[in-house]
Amino acid sequence: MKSKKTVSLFRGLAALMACLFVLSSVGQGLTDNYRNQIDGMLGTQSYVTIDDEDAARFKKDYATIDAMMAAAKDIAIREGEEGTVVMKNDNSVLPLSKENEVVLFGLAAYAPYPYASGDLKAGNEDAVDLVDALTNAGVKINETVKAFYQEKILNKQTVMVENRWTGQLTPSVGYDNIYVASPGDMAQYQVVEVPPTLYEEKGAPADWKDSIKPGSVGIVVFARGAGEGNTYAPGSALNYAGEATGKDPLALSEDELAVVDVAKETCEKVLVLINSGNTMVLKDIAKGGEHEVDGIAYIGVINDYQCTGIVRVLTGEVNATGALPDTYVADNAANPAVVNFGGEYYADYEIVGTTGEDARYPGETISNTKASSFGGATTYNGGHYIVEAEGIYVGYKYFETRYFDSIMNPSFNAASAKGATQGETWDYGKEVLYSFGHGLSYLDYTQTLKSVNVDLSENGSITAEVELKNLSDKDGRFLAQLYVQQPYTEYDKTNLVEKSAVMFLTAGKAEVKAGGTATVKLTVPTKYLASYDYKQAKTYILDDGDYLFTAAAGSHAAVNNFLAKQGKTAADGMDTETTGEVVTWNLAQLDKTTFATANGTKVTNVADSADLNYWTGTDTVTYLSRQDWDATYPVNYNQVEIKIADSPKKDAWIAELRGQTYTIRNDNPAAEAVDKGLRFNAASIQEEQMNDINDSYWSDLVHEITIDEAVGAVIHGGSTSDTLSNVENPIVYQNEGVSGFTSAYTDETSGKTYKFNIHSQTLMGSAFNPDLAYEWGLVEGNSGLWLQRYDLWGTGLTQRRTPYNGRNYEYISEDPMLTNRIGYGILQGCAEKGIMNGPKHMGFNDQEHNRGGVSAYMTEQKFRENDLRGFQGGLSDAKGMAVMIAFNRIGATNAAHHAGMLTTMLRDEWGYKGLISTDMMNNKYYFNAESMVMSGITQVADFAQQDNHINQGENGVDKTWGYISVDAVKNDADLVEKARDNLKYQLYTFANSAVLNVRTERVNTWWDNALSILKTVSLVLACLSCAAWLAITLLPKKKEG
Amino acid sequence: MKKLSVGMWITCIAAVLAIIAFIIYSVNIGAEGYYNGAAVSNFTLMVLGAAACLLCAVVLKTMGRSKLIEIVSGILRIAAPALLAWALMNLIAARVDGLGYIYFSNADVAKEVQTPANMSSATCAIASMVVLGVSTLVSVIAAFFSMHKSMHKKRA
Repeated sequence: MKSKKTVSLFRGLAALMACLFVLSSVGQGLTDNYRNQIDGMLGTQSYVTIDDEDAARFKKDYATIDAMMAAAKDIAIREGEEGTVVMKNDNSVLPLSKENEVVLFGLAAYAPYPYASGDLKAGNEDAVDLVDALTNAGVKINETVKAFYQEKILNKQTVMVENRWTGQLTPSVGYDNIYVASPGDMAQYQVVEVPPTLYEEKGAPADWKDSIKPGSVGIVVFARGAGEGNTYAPGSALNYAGEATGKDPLALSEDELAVVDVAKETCEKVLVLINSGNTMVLKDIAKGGEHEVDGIAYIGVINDYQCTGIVRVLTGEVNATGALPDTYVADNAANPAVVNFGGEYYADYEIVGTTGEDARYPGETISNTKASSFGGATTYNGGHYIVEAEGIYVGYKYFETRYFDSIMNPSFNAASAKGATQGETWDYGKEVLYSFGHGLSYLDYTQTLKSVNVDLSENGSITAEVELKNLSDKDGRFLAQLYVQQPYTEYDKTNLVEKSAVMFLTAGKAEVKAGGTATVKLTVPTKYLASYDYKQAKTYILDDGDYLFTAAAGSHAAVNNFLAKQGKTAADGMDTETTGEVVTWNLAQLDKTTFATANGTKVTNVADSADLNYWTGTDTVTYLSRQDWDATYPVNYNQVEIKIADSPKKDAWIAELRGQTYTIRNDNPAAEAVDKGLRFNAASIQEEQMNDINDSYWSDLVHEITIDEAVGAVIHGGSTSDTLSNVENPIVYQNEGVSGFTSAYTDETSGKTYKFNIHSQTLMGSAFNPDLAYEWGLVEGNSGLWLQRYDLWGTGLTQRRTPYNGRNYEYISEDPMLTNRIGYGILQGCAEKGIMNGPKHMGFNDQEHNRGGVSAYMTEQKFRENDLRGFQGGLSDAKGMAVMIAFNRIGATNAAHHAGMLTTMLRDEWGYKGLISTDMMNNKYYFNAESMVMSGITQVADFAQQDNHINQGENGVDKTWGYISVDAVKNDADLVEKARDNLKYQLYTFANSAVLNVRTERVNTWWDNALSILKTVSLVLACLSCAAWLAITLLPKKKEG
Repeated sequence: MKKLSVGMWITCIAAVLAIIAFIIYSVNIGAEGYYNGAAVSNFTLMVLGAAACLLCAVVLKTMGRSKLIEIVSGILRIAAPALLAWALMNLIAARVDGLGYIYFSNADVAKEVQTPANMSSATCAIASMVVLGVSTLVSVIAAFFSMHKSMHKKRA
């Protein structure tokens, strides 16, 4: 009996120890993958940084953390000062008089958007909201209205939100009534604004109106929310009661207008503040509207400190110098881009799906239905499409060009009914409320273009001098804007080269003494004067003729200057007489050569397949052309039957929609790595290596990377760039977000926490000041040095194609050149501090709805001159160091598969040497590993760590793409070499960043040690127990008795 | 039918639990939701292999008491918990990202992510892990018990 029990004991121990050995062994790998999260939970530290600030290449500009924070705050406040746009200012409603009270109406007046801290709002303890800022400025606020709004209607409270998984309650800000912060994915949007008829029911005193003193100014603030994965749906509005109204959610609701009315009833003057990153419809309160107010000002999406600057504008402490980054229209449907928005299925989208015949996924049924913005379905998601038939005519380029043609070119049918929302025929004055670049100054001034010099060479610049004359008796700051009109020739008409009648180039600001003048020198690369001819020359061209330059307070003033220059007057239909100076630069002959080469690369078509007509083989799509506004005005191509099966390129189209942009070869063996002992460290990387990516060191270094790791490191690249075995590069963490680093700095001495993500993209856009963008770039870069974080997704440069994109608050403008110049400033500032600041989301992230698969079809002129031009300034001119690619498709091609965009254009033409990341890799059927490698992606954002191999899945295959393995790719030298080449760019960029300022070393935490001990001890005990069990079992049994 | 010993009972329970875990897992990857089609490498082999080991051990014990049977049966009872533990860790490794995504996405996206299908899929994944964990534990406990009935007790 004793023997039997001993046998069982040792067998049990062997089983237990074997079990523990397996758990600890596999557990070590698992915990390594989630090291950061475990460190966060247990308070351990797996990495230590060793820095020597004196030897650092990139040095901080601020000696103390308080000085650093003060510099960041200063920029944030200036964003408020320079970004607040006075759109309407009648009856001297602005600047506010401190003698009279203001009465704040609207939920957003007391809780401006965003009210909760997160990606968009840092949440520092000393954050200032609108009420704080007004109070700090000495503005008297009506306490009765404030009290019932704050205490009865809003009733700010800390709400405990239950985590559905852990059940843990976490505190968050809540209100009884608040606007909807996330509009959802083309869902119904409730405009939550408490109508005045409910004030008393909600707790307002019956005599609240009596508390308002004569002379009071009512300030009404309206907000619209936004967010990732969110897209507004036209006509989706619900009112406060939750009833569908059929109105545009971006238009003011009846409840909001009722608040305006009660403000007008009770106050002498009324000012409305627009607190939104999405362009709202303000027809009802603008001039001539049924609820017209005295003043309207745009305050964008605020952050911790912008309200201080906003109030300095409202009170006149500083002059108003902001300008609108978007066109405000009477009806959003007036935008031709809105005609094709959202997307629908091809008539026969199902034929793209498979039931097992995709060689990459044998036996698997893969659908072609759309997925949520966050993936999670087995689908190629290639069923939905939109056609961006508006071409280059987005925002003001459409409205101003059509206005120009209505006067200058009657044969162009600008007055047609097509696109008219305010009458039988199209009328600029009725369609447009406030034009791009519009912004009223308190102080009277003029801006006059004094000279323009055009250096017509590949890397030449346009240099303009604008004289700002302060006509007032106060010193102040003023805005100068530079616009151009390119000639629109017969060649253009024949070859469908579209030209906007007015194009913004750049802007600048200067302080001017009372009665004095100052000259602002503005420069912008000449290449942006060229247009892309995708049909005939298939490169950039400069037409022969007069190029008209002017300085003007907005796009409409500029186009009027051009009309006047060409002899037009109010008698011809101009809506104003103008005397703005126009400087002419003439080009005698059509130039097809100067910009046909860039960085030694021939510039020619790379996106023919982005055009739907390429696939259908017929002129299915008519793109908008100014030569006939009536005949070419877009139709909704989702209502046109598009059948993939009818295409002469059917098989290629289906392959592209299945993500098969590239197919792995098996007839071209790749060379395995050769370790020459080179390593990525400060000793090996000297000035000559940092300055020249073609130095042999880089090529030799990446050829030390094994096939497994070269392909693996690219396709498993985020959110941390792992250490490569034979390279020993430091780990580089990627960081969010567009308002600055979301990581906080805690001062060890004081224990105080500092959050630097206090920037506002929207107000930076409306500040119209590339110099301010540069200053923010430097500050953002400095904050990275303090945080010892060097890789940041720190701005958004996608064009705002329509007002409905839920991420417009992350972007700058409807205009590519304003975006281009702001991006140039921010990325240049960061690059000077060694921070890899990657703008989001290059390649037409025009809507969040079905972003992970929708096909956006367009011409190559639009491809080059719209969204991508917004990125060109930062990535090419400012030598940016990182970029994140859009989710969607360009044509049928996943933007992250688009070699034409990423290698030919970005790398070769633009000379970009930084890293290229995908957005969240959430669908392996849509994101194709080999196609991303071949397009030039340097890191696929898969969010795991220490996984830079393609042998971590079952039987040594890749853990995500099961058909990828070393065996599968080793006979494709092109693929392997491209992966190494992509890593070369990435490592080169790391070397040129502040990454080399510090060295990061892995150390073992207590839980690492515990797992190691457990593994060893359990293995030893398992062996011993097993041996003991075997020995006892095999021993002869003792005879009983 | 002869009465089974405690060791046999526990071993059988461990095997049944392993099979239940496998069924839940299969339902999970077959049903609509986040883990649809998300098979885990070698999971089937490991779990069904472990269950087979446990059941074989029981069957072998009913065939006699030779030393060879003792050793083979013992090895199977030691290997089974290790296989189950391995399968459990693989399952956790394959599911943890998704669970984090479903349960811990920020408020902006939670509405999009936490669909009924995804929540059901996540719950099912957790259930398979829990049952597999219990099966592992029970199989370890089973290894401490003899599968022979006590002779003393029989004589009494």
